[in-house]
Amino acid sequence: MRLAPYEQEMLDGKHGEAKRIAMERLVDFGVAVNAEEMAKLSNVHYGICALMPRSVPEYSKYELGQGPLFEEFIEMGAKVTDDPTCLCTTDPLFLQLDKYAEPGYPWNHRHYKMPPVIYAAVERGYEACKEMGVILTQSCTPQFNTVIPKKGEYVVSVESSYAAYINSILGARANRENTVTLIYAAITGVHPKYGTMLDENRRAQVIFELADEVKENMVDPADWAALGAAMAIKSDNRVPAVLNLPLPIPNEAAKLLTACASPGMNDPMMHLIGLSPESPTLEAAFGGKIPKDVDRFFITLADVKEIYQMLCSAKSDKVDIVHVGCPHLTYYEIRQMARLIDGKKVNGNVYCWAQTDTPSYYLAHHHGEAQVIERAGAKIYHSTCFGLLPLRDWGSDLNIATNSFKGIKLFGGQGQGWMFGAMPDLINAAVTGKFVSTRWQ
Amino acid sequence: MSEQRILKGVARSKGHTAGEALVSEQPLSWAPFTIPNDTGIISIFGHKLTGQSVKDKIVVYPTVSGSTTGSIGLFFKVKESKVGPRAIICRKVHAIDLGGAIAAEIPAVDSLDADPIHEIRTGDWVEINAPQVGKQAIVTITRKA
Repeated sequence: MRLAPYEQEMLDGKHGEAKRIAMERLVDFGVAVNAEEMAKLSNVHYGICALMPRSVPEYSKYELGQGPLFEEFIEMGAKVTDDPTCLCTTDPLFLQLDKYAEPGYPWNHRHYKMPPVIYAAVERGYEACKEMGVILTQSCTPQFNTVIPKKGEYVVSVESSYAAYINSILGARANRENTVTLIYAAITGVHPKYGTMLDENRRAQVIFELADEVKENMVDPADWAALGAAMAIKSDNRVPAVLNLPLPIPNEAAKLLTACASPGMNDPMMHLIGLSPESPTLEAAFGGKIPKDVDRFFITLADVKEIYQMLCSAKSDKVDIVHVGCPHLTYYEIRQMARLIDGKKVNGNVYCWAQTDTPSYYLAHHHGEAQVIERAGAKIYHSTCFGLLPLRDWGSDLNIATNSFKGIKLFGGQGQGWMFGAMPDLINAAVTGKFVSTRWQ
Repeated sequence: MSEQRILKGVARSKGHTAGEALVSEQPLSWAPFTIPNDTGIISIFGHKLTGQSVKDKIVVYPTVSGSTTGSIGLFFKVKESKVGPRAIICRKVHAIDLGGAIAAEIPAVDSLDADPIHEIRTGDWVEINAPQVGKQAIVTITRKA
């Protein structure tokens, strides 16, 4: 690999042991992916670690895997890059730390209680990451409130949906990054340039044209998630170009449409023609010329409806948990939820959880939507991803209703029944304890 | 009696190992919430191999799907909780799995001269010799008669 002078100095150990080790492993990875050079990063978005001794019985159940990688850097007192043009931020973890003891949240309810030793581990990890200089955004949607990468910038991200948004909406460049070298990127501020960071891998490979009936009927966040899912599945890991979107689309639509990247598209790039900065035209999406033999798909409402059905695995209509906020709810989505739930009461057998990022959580408290949601008996919380908890311990006689394609595909194989629905149907399910889909009837 | 076949591919992560094959027609994710780090049992929504263990297997699958935490999940299952595979063989090893395989110090091989999903069957004995990253890897498949 070709290294810039400062990168070579890091590799030679002139900037300390932590940077030397990190650089060495980045070069190893760069060689493995045939990278020619490093990309200077504007954002490293990684998870915080939970720090616990290996003797803790729950160690292997809860440790996602980054703890041992962080360990050596924490022990040597390493800091993340101090380059002011590179922000090191974090994805959510297991719980909202200040609500650990309060009942009714994903980490403390009648089907599950997080062991104190795990809470302590998350707290230790939080403090250690802070000490390293990390900005603890604990958000899977930093693009809305904290980090907004600009066109042409390079980012490494643990969060696939964020990476897809960066590429498709903002015109910055990110892979669905492997979660080993992210820590080395945080220490050095650089990462091998490969994959979707390179022009040749960003170009469209398949065309989706939305039928007018699709364009006219996208009204609920779940519709956008289902549309994204339909295209992601048909694309079979080819980069899609999408025609006939109902522009302009809301931020939430952009978020949910691109969030299908994690479970559906390995290269997190969609050319939304007329919206994506690199794709004012279909030709531009293909880098100049559309190949004659390119695959074209026509997407109708039947495709969207099929995803709604595919994502329902529950054997009955009984609902135990309603979960929204994967990816994290925007403030606008919280408002939508508050309007729907205002004056109603969540069924005593149901937990209704609204998951968001820290800024939106406080905004909703400031303006009152959070109080409306909690008065109805639902819970709103931040900095957390409930899917990272060991759902398999919650029992299999449990049905979870959600509007997240991503959530079901990533966390849905642990024994529970799942339902996929639009926001009004989810709120209705929370109130009645029964899920009835009224969308597409 | 047994039947032997040799395939040639490219070593993405190096190593020399052998083990029993577990073949998945569907993409796979090594993330802790799809193959738990303490059990190594596949638990993926809609996946045909849900319920099967990856421990000590040579796992053969088309490519990654799902969470980026597959890298640390693969690393952890091999190095820390010892329920991970001995090697991975894909049509294309995605960087998510590659990062994990390198950290786990297990071979990762792709670009074989025949489709591994069709050529290798669950239960076959597979030996991998992948001495250098980016160079040729030899995959020897032994099938019991």
